[in-house]
This record gives sequence, structure tokens and C-alpha cells, in this order.
Amino acid sequence: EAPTSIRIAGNFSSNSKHVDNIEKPFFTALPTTTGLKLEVNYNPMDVVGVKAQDALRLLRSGAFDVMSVQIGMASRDDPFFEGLDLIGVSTNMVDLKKAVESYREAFDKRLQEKFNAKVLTLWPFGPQVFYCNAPIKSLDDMKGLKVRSFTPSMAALIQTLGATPVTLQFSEVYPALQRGVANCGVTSPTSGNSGKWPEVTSHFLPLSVSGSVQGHFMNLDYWKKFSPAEQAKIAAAFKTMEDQMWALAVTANEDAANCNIGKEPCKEGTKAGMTLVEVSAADQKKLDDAVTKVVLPIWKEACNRVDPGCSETWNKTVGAARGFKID
Amino acid sequence: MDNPITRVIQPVARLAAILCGYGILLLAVAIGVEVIGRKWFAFSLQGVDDFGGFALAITAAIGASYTLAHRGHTRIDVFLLRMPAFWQAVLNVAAMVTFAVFAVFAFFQAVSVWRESQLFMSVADSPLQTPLIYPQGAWVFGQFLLAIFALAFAVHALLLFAGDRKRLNRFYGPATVDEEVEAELEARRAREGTPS
Amino acid sequence: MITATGATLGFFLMIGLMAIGLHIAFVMFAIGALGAIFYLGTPALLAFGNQFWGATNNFVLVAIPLFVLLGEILVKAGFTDRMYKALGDWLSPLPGGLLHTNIGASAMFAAVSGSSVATAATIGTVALPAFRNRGYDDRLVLGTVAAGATLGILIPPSINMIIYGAMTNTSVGQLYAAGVIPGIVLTGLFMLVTIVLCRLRPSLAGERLPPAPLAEKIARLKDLMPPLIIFVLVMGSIYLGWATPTESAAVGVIASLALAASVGRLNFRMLHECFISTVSVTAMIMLIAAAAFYLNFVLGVMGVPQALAAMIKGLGANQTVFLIVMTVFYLILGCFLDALAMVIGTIPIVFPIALQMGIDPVWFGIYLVLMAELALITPPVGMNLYVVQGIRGRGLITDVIVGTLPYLFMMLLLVVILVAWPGLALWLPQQFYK
Ligand code: NA
Ligand code: NA
Repeated sequence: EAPTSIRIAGNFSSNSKHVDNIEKPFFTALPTTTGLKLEVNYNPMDVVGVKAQDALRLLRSGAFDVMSVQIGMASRDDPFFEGLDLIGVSTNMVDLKKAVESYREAFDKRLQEKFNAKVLTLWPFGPQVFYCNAPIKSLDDMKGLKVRSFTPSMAALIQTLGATPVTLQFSEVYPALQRGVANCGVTSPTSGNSGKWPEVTSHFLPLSVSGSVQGHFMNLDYWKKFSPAEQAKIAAAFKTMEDQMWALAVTANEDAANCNIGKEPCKEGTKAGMTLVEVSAADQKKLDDAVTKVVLPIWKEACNRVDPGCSETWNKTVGAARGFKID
Repeated sequence: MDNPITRVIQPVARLAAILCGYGILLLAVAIGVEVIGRKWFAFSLQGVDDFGGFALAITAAIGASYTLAHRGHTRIDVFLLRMPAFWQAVLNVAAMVTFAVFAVFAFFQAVSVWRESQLFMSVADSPLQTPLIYPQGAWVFGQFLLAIFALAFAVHALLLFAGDRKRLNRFYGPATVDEEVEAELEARRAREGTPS
Repeated sequence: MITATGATLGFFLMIGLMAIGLHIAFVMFAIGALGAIFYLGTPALLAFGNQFWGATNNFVLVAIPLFVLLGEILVKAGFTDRMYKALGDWLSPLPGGLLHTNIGASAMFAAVSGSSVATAATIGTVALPAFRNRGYDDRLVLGTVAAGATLGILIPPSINMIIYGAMTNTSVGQLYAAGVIPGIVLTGLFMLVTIVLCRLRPSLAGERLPPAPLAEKIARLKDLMPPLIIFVLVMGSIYLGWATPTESAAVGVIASLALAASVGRLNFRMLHECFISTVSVTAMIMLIAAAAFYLNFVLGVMGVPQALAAMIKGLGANQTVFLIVMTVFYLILGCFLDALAMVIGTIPIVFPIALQMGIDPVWFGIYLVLMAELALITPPVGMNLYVVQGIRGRGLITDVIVGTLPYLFMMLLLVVILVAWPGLALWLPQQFYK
């Protein structure tokens, strides 16, 4: 018996480009695009007071049929998922796409087995880059600066670069940057631009340490209620949304990055006059070394604790695609 | 405070509350070290906010028992106190029984959250990567105390309803502001050293 | 999903269950649970546990126990008693005499306390004995304390602002800055209306105290230092960029401990008493907050706030009309609900609407704080009225209610001023964060 309604917890309402322009229209039109009779109940997760960390548990129990999941946050319940986009492994969207495709199958298998849910989309918010209020010319100048971090491995990476990691809520980052509680913040060009970070920072370093990968997952019991033909239609529909999200991550962030440094074309964002810090080959090398030295070992320990085969799976997939190896 | 149940519960709840108080004090000191370290020594304790969040959740859970024993959980008393004694007794029993239902449900829910954390080996998303079963274990213990105490009060209130409704209303009516204020004035007299 | 009738029934069921004296936290939970069972199914009911842990395991809200502890330490170390005396030296020459001391002391204690009820209890116990046999009008004495103490949540720090910030993702630092000028203006309005009343009817004010010798007055000024030191440290650490608003509360606690130790008032017994009140108040607030967060979750999934927002938007009301409607709504609701519970319970519904109407989230936070202040002194359920009446311990509560009326009108006047001139709240945060 096919379901007659679908309950969705969407992404954060503050990400209006993703929520208002893509997710909401997509789910509203889902009955039409799939030809299924579904009553749609869609709400951004913050509107319904759902914490991003609880996503996998709420999916598993069936409190929601579909959830927009922030992989980084949800990794609290399984570090395996973080393997998709470990800090510093993929520093641009092309490399990230390769990593995601190589990991997708293992990811879906794990999600079905442990959390009773199925992967429908995997896509990035966009490159997570540095906004600093101190004059920097390269990664070396990060020494002694206070950098806002929001994941354990990012904190480890920041420490390896000689900087001090600071944990702050997103809403406190702007005042913190302004008053010097923090010197650098890491976020996407679009989020930083719409959050007015260029007002309180001067230097823009477009070295992406992560793509902030998100996904749409469906409760497995719910999924299995559909016939194979219906499932195919649903999967195809979600694939179009995934493509839209990837395109948005690339175009919107290129635009916002231009805006931040006062360059054209800048169509969507607010123009600012930040100094662009060019990413040198030396910086890239420095980051790669730091990844091998701290990020991968930390993750290996966390992930193999839950599943001894974890790092091996990663080496065969993302590691092979990106040229990294966990020893 | 001649409620016999309160007399049994009071020392346990009080000790637990004081321990939580030390937790809050320790947290304040840790935050102070973090602030000074970050400002002048480019050093960060890492995980203070982790510990802070846990401390609040645990304090709220464990402290709820003391608050219950002292009738500190907010109830609106203006209309209640104007009702005939019989109806006051009915509503006081209703308040204690419904609170007990809530507390027991919250306890079982807390256990299920803990079991999920155990099953997934979940860790806090902070640099310390604290396994969640430890802080959540203390939280479950707090909810356990609350559920047991709330049940004891509810059963006692039900028994009194059949036996002695006067005592029921005295023990389980909302704490009137007068009692709280009397305690406050008492404390002030103690500070000033004037005889009360 | 749920019909308008269903939602209205649910709302009145909630008010009704609260009014008959069931625990507020239980009622909020029960309404949420009923909504989940009837409209969303068992998994939503069983989501309570994770919502509960998520609501209480929240670093931003850690400021609540820290500020309660800070206030407790200052009171139990005897700093507030002496602060009141020192303020009296300078404020009582105004027409209305000691009445101004009540308002001034409330404002000053508000600058270190996050709660209005705590301010009322503190200033009430210190102030009321000072008026015995002095011939002041009882009602105004009580009114100045009950209403003056509401400043506790407007002048930073403020528990209401912390919770509002956490629920709406608004910067608490900006909210604090936004509360300062309205707090000072309201203090001024309170004093102004006292002067006017006492000029019109001099019999309202009692006998003048013989002014203390200037040297003595100056010597006592040092008693104003402890609260000032704490305020400057707490706010300074935020605005100099040393600490986040949550961390600043810890700075205040450490400073208050040092101050208490410096006057020899710090000992284990005193500390344990502080701990017990702190933990008890924190547990009370957090249980309500946790139940309210769960209720938000259920209402949100059911689409209640979204439907209401769409309805109000459909009416085509502008901001002013919306705010007039909201103010009337809160005045009525505030008569029957606990002030904090009222704000926590309604944020999820009104905040999205306010955002859609283009209202600044920081300004709206200050507006909601004022609504909570009104609720604290409107009968029948007005916590400050009961606290002050309880300290007085004789006569009718009607005296307190009548006494707060002139001040209630000043609060409404401030709401009007804030609507007409939002900059009153927003100017200071813009200076700090621009
Ligand atoms: Na205050
Ligand atoms: Na009221």
C-alpha cells in the first residue's frame, strides 16, 4: 500500500537559496513530478525545532519520512558518514564530486543497515573558506590567530596550522569577529556574504577545507511501501534536485566570492572590498600534509572504534579517488 | 515541611543539588580560565561548551527533584486557592498524578535516548568527542530520581485524598508566595544578625 | 491537518489546564503530546526524549544558572542591603523621597540580575522595612518595588533575552545592548511619574529624612561599587571581545565570589545556600523550557504557526496594526500566564510572523521583554505582585495592584515610544556592532 502523505524536515530556513528556491518548490511539486498522490507537509528543520544532530535518530524512528541532513552534524551518531568530506581532503567542488561519487554506495549501505534510511541526494553547500580580520598572505600567517571551528577535525587542523580553535554559535560569529574574540571564521562565500562577514573581516582566503555536504534521506520503511516503478520515479525526481543543488553550490559561491573581493560579476550578493589571498601551491601542500598528519589519523581512530573496516573502506573509495591513504 | 515523604527525600535531593552547584561553580571557573587563556595566552581549553551543555542538562534533571520536593515547579494558584477545599484536594491530586505521569514518561524517554547513544557509540560533536553515554547516564539518573520522587508524592497524595484532605491540601497545594518570602526574610534576618 | 477550531480548542485547553493549577511544564508537554498522538503518530510522541536532551544540553542557556548564582551571591553577601542605603542618600531628596530609591535600586540590581522576580524579592526585602512609620502612601511604596523590579529583565543581563536569543538564533550580545537605553528610559519614566504624582498630591510622599552629612554620604558611595564592578566586568567582557554573553556570566560569578570573599562573607554554608536556590530555580526554568521546546516541535510539524502567519499576512495588516494586536493579545494572555512561560510558549508562533512583517529580530526581542514585564504586574497572575505582597505580609493585594498602575502606563508609553522610534532600542547595538 503506497503512502498518501509525506512529512519532510527541510534544511535551515536561513539558507533561503536552498530552501525557498529549490527544496520547497521541489517538495510542493513532488506529487506532480512523480504522479503520486501525496499530501505534502514540508517545514525547514529550524522552524519545527529539530536539531541537525538528531536527524538520523528521527529518520530511523520514522518521525519524519524525509529529512535534509547536515552530514557533519549527523556524524555524531556515526563518524563513517563524515568520511564523505573529511576536513581538507577535497579543496574544490570538482574534487569533492569525485569523492562523493566514490563513497555513495558504501554510504547508502551503511545508512540502510544502521539507520533504517535511504540516500536520495548528496550535495554540498559550497566551499568552506576563510574570512579573517588580520592581514594574512598565506596559511603560515594563521599562526597565533583565533579561528572559529565547528567540527573536531577542523579544530585539530587549525591547531596543526599553529592557530587557536574557538567554538562559537553561528549567530555569535559576527560579533566575535568584530570584537576580536575570533580572528577568522570559516564558512561558504554565500553564507559569509549574506551574514555580512565582510563588514567585520578584511582578508578572504578561498582555500576550501570542506564542502559542507548535505543530503536528503528517506525512512526505509516508508521507501519500501512504494512499488519498484514508483521508487524509480522518486529517485529520478530527487536526482534533479541534487543536480540543482550542485549547480547552486558552484555558481552562487563563485558570485559571492566575487562580491566579497569587490569583483564583477557580482549579481546576488553585497559588494565588499576584502583583500583576496591567493592560494599558493605551498599552501595546498601544507594543507595536504596536515590532513595526512592529523585529520586522517583522528578520523581513523573515531571511525574504526565503531567499525574496524572503516578506514579500509575509505581507502578503497574516497582515498583512491583523492589520492590519500590512511595507514 | 512536615510532609513525611519530603522528609525522606529532602536529604538526598539537597545533597544532589549541592553537588550540581559545585558543578556549576567548576564550570564558571573553567570558563574563566578559557576566557583569560584565549585573551592573553592564545590557549583554549576546548570542550568547555561541551561540559557546559552537559552540566546544564544534568543540573536541570537532578535539580528537578529538589524543586519538586519544595513545590518549586510553577503552578498557577490564584484560582485554585479560591475553590472549596474538596475541589482543591481534587486538583492537587490531579497535579501530582499528572506530574508523575510526565516524570515517568520523561524517564523512559531518557533511557531510550541513552540506549540509542550506546547502540551507535555516539560522541559529542566537540573536540573532546565525549561518548554521550556518560553525560546522558547522569541525566538518566536525574530523571530516574525525579520519576521515583514524583511517583511517591502522587501515591501519597492519592492516599491522603481518601484519608485526610486537609493534610493533602497543606502538603500538595501550590507553595504560596508567603512561604517563599518568609524564607527570604528569614535569610535576611540571619545576614543582619537581628533576632527573628 | 488540524483545523482552526482544533487549534483554538487546544489553546484554550492549555490555558484552562494551567488555570486550574496543574504544573505549567506538564500542561505544555501534555498539549504537545496530545497534538503528536492525534495528528502526527507515535514516532513524533517518542521524539520527546531527543528533543528533551537537545533543549537542555545547550551551552547558551548555561548563562541561566550562572546569573542566578551571581545574584544569590551578591544578596547573601549583604551587598544589596548596603547598596540600597547608599542610593537612598542621593535619590531621596527628589519629590517622592525614598520612593525613588526603590526604583533606582531596582534598576541597579537589574544590572547584575537576570530575573525580575529575583529583583522584586531582593529589593522588596531590603526596601519595605525602610518605609515603616514614615507616612508614605502604602500603594506607591509597593508599586515602585513591584514595577521597578520588572526592570530586571530589560536592563541586561536578562534570562528572557538569553532564552529568546537561543530560540530565535539572535545574538544575545546585541539584545543586551538593545535593552540598555530602553531600561534607562523606563527608569526615568518611573521616576518622572513618581515626581508628578507627589507634586500633585504631596501627601503621597512621607516625611523627609534629615539629609545625612555629606562626608557620610560620600563614604557610603563605595557601597555602590560591588554591583557596578560586576556590571562593568560582565558587559565590558562582552563588548571588549573577551567573552561571549554566556561566558560573561561566568566572569560575573567569579567576580562576585571574589567580592564576597573580600568582605569575609564567603563560607561553605553561604555557598551551599546559593547553590541550592540556583539549582532549584534552574531546574524549574529548564523543565518549562524543555516542555515548551517540545510543544514548539509538535506545533511546527502540525503547521500551526505557519497557518497563523499566513492568515495574518492575508489580512494585509501593517506592522503597527500587527503590534497593536500583539500588545492587546499579550496584555490579556499576561494576566493569566507566568511571564516567562508566556514568552517561551508564544515565540514559535509570533516570531516567524514578526520576521515576515519585516520587524527587526533584536527590536522584537526587546518588545517581548516589555510584554513579559507587563505580565509580571497584571492580576490575577502577576508574580511580582505576589512577591511584594508576600514581603509586606499584611493588607490587601489590591494595594499593590493599584500602586503599580501608574507604572504600568509608563511601560505602555515606552512600548509606544519604541514603536514610533525603534532606534531607541537599536541605536546602541548598531554602535557596538557596526
Ligand atoms: Na537584568
Ligand atoms: Na500577569
